Amino acid sequence: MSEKRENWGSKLGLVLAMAGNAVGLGNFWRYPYQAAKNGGGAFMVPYFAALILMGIPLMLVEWSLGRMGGKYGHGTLGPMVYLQAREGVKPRTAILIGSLAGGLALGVTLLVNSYYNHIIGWTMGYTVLSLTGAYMDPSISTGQFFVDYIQNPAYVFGFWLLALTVLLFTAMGGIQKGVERMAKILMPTIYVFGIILIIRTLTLGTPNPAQPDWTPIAGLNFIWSPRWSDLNWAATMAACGQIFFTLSIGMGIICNYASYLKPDDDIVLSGLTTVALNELAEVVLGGTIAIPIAYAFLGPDGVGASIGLSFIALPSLFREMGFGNVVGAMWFLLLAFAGLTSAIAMYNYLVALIMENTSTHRKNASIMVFLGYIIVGLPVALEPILTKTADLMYFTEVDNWVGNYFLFVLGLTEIIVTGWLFREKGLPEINRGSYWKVPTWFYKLFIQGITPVLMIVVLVMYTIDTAKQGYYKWVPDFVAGNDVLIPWVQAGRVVVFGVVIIGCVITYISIKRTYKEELDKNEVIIRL
Amino acid sequence: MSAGALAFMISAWGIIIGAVALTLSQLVKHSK
Repeated sequence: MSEKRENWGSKLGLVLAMAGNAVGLGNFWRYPYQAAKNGGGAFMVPYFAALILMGIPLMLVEWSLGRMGGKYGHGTLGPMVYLQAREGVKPRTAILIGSLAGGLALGVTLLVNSYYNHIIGWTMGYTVLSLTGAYMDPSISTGQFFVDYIQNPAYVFGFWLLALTVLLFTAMGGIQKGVERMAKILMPTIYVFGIILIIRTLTLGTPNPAQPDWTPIAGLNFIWSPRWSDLNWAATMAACGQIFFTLSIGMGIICNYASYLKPDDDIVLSGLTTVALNELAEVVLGGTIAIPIAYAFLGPDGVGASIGLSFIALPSLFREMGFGNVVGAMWFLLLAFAGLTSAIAMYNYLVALIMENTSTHRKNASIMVFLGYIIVGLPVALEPILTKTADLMYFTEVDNWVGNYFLFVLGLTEIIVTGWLFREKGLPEINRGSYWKVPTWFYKLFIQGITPVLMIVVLVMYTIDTAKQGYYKWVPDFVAGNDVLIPWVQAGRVVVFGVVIIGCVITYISIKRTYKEELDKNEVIIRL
Repeated sequence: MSAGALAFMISAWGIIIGAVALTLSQLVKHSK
């Protein structure tokens, strides 16, 4: 380690940063359409079940892994997992598990941000374009406007670099003066903007006189009415995926933030507060803005889009509503802020990775990460510009792996290591210094029982499901026949697995160097 | 809005807002 490890400045700052880590773009655009698409109120049953059975147990495991790793000077997942795993298996086996975790975490933190930073750039661009009224001209469809936007190098690169620059300076500021300060400013703003947008949404009245039944309240009814016939395995999978995505679990970034805690800092109450704040932003705020607006203007057929909902459907509605450019700017700025508070967590993970393995100072490490993100983000920007398409296949393919599949694999690895290898030592580790104590029955029932078993079932079912859809072929079914985009999908796969393999090797070398003696003897020497 | 939808929404909102109030108040209490 090149520097003394930093700490959080205050408990409020820590919780806001952790909540900011979790509250992201997914809360405001992904959750509403998932709920609307998968049974409305009925979706909430598997959603809350997944929150309790997987989300909260994994959240506690990640906080505890991170705090314990920080005590031994680690800010990245590989060595943290190694330390707990070798309590249940020999160090030479534990290093393989740690290397896998470190490789997956590198894949997720580097590659999720490769496209996530672009979406933040789009939201920044659309904030400006809302204020200038650029998409208010009804002669151009907002769909065409979006296609023109992502094929316009000046917009795409300009706002992407702006987003990256904000992240760069925040990361250079460090934990207290960068990450914590950003969270203290942006998180309250997100909640205030959310409340203002809800008030505007619910006072829209009946914007389409030809359709008097299309109101924001009818939109709320649509999203909350339990349609039990839509509740099936796919909806359950969607609920589990949403919980992982929204809580930012299975990425390594919660562990990284928790590594800046002091060894006896509370993690149970802080972790649960983070979950509660995230759910407030998602279910209460996120569920009451986009879908009710879309429903009021477009009816039930207008609520099924994902990215299209934010960048195509809603702008067409901002054109028609009073103060539409202000409401539009506020909506996109809300998304930008939510995105930035999550992206900085992934950014900081990579800064910590560099600092942990080299003698690089934080500022230089931040610049290196900035350059890294430019390299991995280029294909995302170039695909629509060079191919003159708007399918975003490279982005979609990378997201399928690092924003979806790997989250489950990494989360499963973490909980197996804590629950089944670290075993009963995990409970006092979680409870140390905590105001609320996790009961023994909860630890045994969930962390050692239901949660890992359920995750294995979900992962197996998901793999079978996607295999049936021809997903694992070298030319997957969803892009078959499209000769222009096939190379972009294949390139995405090469990049994903290349980064993970490199991450595994880097982690292996790092753990081997730090714990050389016990790995040589294949016996645990440093007792936790 | 149907009674079922309203019941779902109010229950979910109630649980979440209650959880936020409880955890934040405890956090403030223990921070002193």
